[in-house]
Formats: sequence, C-alpha cells, structure tokens
Amino acid sequence: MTVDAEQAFRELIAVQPTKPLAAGSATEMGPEGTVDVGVLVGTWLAAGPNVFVGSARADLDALCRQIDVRRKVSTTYGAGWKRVDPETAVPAAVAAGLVAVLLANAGSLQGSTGVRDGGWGLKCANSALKALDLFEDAPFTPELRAWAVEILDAETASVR
Amino acid sequence: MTGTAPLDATRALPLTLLAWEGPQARAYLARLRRAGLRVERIVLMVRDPLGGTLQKVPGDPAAALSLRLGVRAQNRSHNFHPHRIRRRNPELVAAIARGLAPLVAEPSRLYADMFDRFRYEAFADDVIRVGANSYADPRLLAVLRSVAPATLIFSGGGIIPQAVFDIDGLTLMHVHTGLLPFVRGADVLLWSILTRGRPGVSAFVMTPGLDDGDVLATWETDPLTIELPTGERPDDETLYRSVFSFIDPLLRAELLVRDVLAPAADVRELTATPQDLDAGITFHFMHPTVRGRALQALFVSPRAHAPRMESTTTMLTRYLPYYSKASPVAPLRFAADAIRTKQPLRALGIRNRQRDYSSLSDHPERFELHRLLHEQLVAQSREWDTYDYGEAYWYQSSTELGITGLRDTTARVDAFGLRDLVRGRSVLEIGSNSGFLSLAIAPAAQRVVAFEINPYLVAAGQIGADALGVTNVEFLVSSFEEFDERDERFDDVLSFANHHTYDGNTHQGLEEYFARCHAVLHPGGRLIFESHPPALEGRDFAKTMAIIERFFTVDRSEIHQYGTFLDRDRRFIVGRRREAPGS
Repeated sequence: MTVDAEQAFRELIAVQPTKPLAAGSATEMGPEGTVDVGVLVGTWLAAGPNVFVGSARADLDALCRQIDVRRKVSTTYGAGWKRVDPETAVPAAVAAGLVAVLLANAGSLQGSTGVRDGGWGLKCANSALKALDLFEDAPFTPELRAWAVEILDAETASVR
Repeated sequence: MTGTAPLDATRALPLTLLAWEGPQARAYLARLRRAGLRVERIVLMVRDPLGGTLQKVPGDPAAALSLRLGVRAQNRSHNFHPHRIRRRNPELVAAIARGLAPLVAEPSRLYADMFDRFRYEAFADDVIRVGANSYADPRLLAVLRSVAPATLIFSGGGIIPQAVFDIDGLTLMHVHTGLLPFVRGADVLLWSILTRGRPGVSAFVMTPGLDDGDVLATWETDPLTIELPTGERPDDETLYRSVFSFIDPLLRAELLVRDVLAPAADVRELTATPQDLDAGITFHFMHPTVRGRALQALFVSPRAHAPRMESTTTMLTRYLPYYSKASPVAPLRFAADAIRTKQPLRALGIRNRQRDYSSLSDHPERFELHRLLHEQLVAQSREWDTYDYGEAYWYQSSTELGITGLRDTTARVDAFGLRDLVRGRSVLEIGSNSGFLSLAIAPAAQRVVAFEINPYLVAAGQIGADALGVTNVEFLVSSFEEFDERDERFDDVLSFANHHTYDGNTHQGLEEYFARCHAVLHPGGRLIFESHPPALEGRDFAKTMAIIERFFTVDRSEIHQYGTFLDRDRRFIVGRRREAPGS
C-alpha cells in the first residue's frame, strides 16, 4: 500500500471542526499569543503535505512534546505552549489531522534513502504512533497507522 | 570483589559520585577502578521504605533500620533487570560483551565487578548513605551542602531541581548517550542508532536545562551490532532492559573515565565547550513499534534477516551502465522504478532522469557530461549521509546542461530578473547545491563565488562549468561559518532558501545568519533572498522579515508564480545593506 498524502489531507480537512476550538479565536494565534490547536492543524492541513522548517517546525515540535511527554493534546495553549486550565482534549478529528501532519513531516520529502534529516522524520513518526494510541477513536486510525508503519519501513530500511 | 585492585592501590580523585543505585553508578566505579582510579566520596541516595519520617531524628535506631532496609530493597529493585538477565539469558549478556569489546575493554569483567558481591565501600574512601526519595529531598540537599565545594558525577536520570544548582561550589558532571548537540532527550542510545547509525556519547557540565550544558568530551563510536546467539530471539522488553543494564552504562563510563577523568591533570579544572543550542533534536521515549526497529538494528538475529528496501546507492549503481553506453532499456527501467517507488518526490526525480536520458539521443555530445554527473550522484549516495535534496537526481535544473531538476532554474532566473540584477557585479551564492543557478547567472555577473557544504554537489557544479566553458564561477566546499573566515566582500549575496535547511547542516540562528550575509557585502551591497514555501516558513515569517530589515533596507518584496510546485509562492526580496544594522 502506498498512501496518497494529498488525498489523506483532503479527507481529513473534510472532518475538521468548522469553528475555532478556543473561544473568540479565529486564527491559530489568539489573544496574548495563545494557540488554538484546531485552527493550527487546519491551517497545516490546508497547506498540504510538507516538511516543516522554522517556526512551523518549532510549533510541531512543541506538539510532539505534548503527545510524548504530557500524553495529551489540548485545544488551547498559552504563549510559549504553556498549559491553559482547565485542559480540554482536542476533538479526535483534530488529533487525526495532527497525525497526518506529523506523518507528512516524517515522509513526504524523504526518499527510500533512510534517515537524512537528523531524525526529525522518525521523531514525527514516533509522535504520530503515540498520538494514535492516545486517540483511539480518531477517524481513519487504521489508515493512519498503516501510513506510519510504511514510513517507518522506509526510514529504517538503511539501518536494518 | 572479583579480580579488582584493593582500594589503596588506586589513586583518589577529588570527586564525589552522586549515586542513584543501579548499573550506571556501578559502571562508573568499576571503570574507574580498571583505570587505577577511585572517587573520594560516594553519596548514595537510599529510598526510604518507611516513608522518611523515622530518619528525622539522627541516631534514632529506627532511622538506621529504615536506611538498612532501604539499601537492601533498592539493591534488589534497581538492579533487578541486570541480575535477572544475567541469570536467565547469560548467552545474551555474553553476546553483548562480545559486541561491546571493540569499544570498551573487558566488558565481562566490568559486569562481574558491577554485579557480583558489589560493595560501594570497595570503591571510595567515604560512603554517605542518605535517605532521599528525590533530588529535591531536604536530607539530600543538606548532605550536598555539607560536601560543597565539590565536583559531582551524576549517575541518575530525570531533572535536577534548581535547589541543587543553587548550592554554592557544586559542579555536576553528566554523561549522555547521544552525540551533543545533535541528539538530546530520552532513549537516546536507541535514537542514535536509528538516526546516526551508531551510538554517540557526550560528557557535559549539568545545567537546569535538558542536556544543554557545556561539553567536556564527545565520542561517536564505530557502528555497534550485537550478534545474538542462535535460538529464540529474546523479546523486545528483555533486549530493551539489557541495553540499559549492560550497554548504555559501559559506554558512558568509558567516555567519562577514558577521555575526561583519566587524562585530566586536575578534575576540578576541566575545560568545557559551549554547545550550539540551536542545533539538534530533542527526542522523547520511543513508541514500542519504533523501539522495535531500533532493537532490530542493534541486535542482529542470525535467523531473522528482514527484507531490505533497495537503497539509493543500489539504485544509482544499477544505473551506472546506462551512462557508459546508451541503452534503450534505461528509460523503461526508469519508468518502472518511478512507478515502484513509494515516495512521490523520488518518483518525480526518477521521471526527470528518464526525460533527460531520452533527450540524450538528440544531444549525444552531452552523454559524457551526464555520465560524470551521475558518478557524483553515486558517490554522494555512498558517502554523504544527510538529506538528498535532489531525491537521487538533481534539485536544480539546467537548460544548458540538459538537466531537469525539482526546481526550474531558468524560470527562477527569469521570474526574478536575476541576470539583470547581478549584471557586472560580484556575487556570492550561499548553499549553491549543484551550482546550476550560479552557472545560469554567470554570463551576466562579473564573478560568482558559490559555496556548498556537500562536496559531491560542488564537484557537479565544476563539471557543469567545465562543460559550458564558464570561467567566472568559483565553486567551494564550505559552510557559511567557514566561509566567513575568508574575509571577502561582494556586491550581492544570494540567499535562496538557505536560512533554514532540512538536513541539519545549518546550525546558526537567523540573527547570526543574516548578520553573516550583511558582513560579506561591500557597503551598498544587496541581499537577494528567496524564502521557503509559506507552509514551510511557518506562521511567523514576519519575525524573519524583521531580522532581515534590521540588516537591510528592503527595495523589493514579491511573490512569483513560476516553475514547478516547489518553486511557487515563495517570497523574493531584494534588500540593500544598511551601514549600521538596526536593533
């Protein structure tokens, strides 16, 4: 099986929430630097599959930390990815969108060359798998899991 | 003790081992002894099985009982896995020792020292046992204050609280099994194996941050493979535990003793080098599926050979005969490979190759050129272990050379009016990739210097220049940091999507990057800049712009629609060098 990342993104866009998750937020950056994760993921999905650099990578890296270390992804974060209480988990569709963005970062610009990006791709694939474990009811879970394993096969081929 | 020197036969170093019971603390002590060294003092943290309340009264017999029980309990619990694996899987431990032997002297004897009748008193002049359930425990803090000033070897994990760093005169050394600054975080030995193909080890001075202290020594080892004995492969949990019982502790101890402590004239006066904190990736604990891949790479089972995907090197080597003699089969092979590959960009690269190869029948004079260029791609795939921007073919196109790349150089030059911009001027191109863009503007420019860190791409640029008879382009293998040292100035500097890179080879921050661009220009010189596509730049490109505007007065800022999907929507900027950069 080979995943069509563009198609996967289109299908995930269709299931994203239509309203911002954070009250009063219309963009991914709300008042005082707060982050609306739903809007952020929606923006990334709309831009299509990409490998991030710069601040987009920093934002995705911060979400990796939420998944891997805090084992939760909330709807809203304060400036500097600070926790905002009470924490509300993102809807499953947003989590699925985030997984697709992670997998695009893990795979879309990688060839069958193995690991050539310092490990960013593998880190993203790792977080994607962990996010799928956290959000078991996310839409397209079997497809996303298969995509992650396919990327892992390609990324680790050179060290096996 | 088994086969080790008596305490007084070793030289005491003015060091304290902050011992968190377990294989790591023991490995440090055992390896020091092998080197004829010992620490003066061990502060052994003992978890208090009775809750800690009894130890509040010094000299209380109940407190002493609590401490004794704690020592016994944590000896069992913290060393449970190494003892269990040695008992149940001695063949696995022997296999690990064989695999480690090229890196660490006598691993089996170190294991014996660490786990057979081990006593802390045999390794130091003074052993202080302190009931403490965490590094923030007031009882531990009191002991640390009492030993300060002191240099401590940290042997545990987790985050050290600020209260420890606040103690005057305390320096903590730590060893991490990742090559700093590239690999930080957790499970780093396994991440190193997956991402760098070998373990890395770094000794550093601890700070309140995560693995960000000044570095004392680093060691990226030869590739490490443990050949498992025949028979049933141990489960991943056992293999994972064996990594942290037998491999990780010995690698850390080897670096610390061999490269830091043994050669030091005075271990209290070690030289440490600041890290590049913008470089590297912080990894977190592995998902079991990812961990399984790392363990497969580390522990090779004789009866389980996983099928390999064809590597880039294999594929490109397979193409070599097509460039010795024109082959009617080659375009068909390329087409088949493009369909077969699972990666869209790789497929595009192969289709570009197919197209260019087919056009050689109309331009037979280019055949030799394409052979030379292909040889560079083969060499690159073998030797250059970072991201391949061209996806096994070329990233930049060159109409003049008959090369179709992922980026359309002719359209790029035309869209930006580059030839008119640089006419008669000296130009520096940063990160020139295969140099085909430099070759495209060379007819207009007075002179072009193009540097690129990848030597195979630099060689490709020179091959192109020779083929085209271009003599006013100088190609150099260099990073921007190294180039800086040439102290040469230019009329224009081309920064085309090089302010961040995917490959991890750029370690400077944006501020430093644009300061360098400013520094290599003559007064009145210009920055000619192209961004990444907007989705890759992220949501705060405005910050990048603000930095650019501190160093340059922006005359043009445009977005062009041209070329391939990788060309479109990028921001193009021309800025004049400010005489005095703003703040």
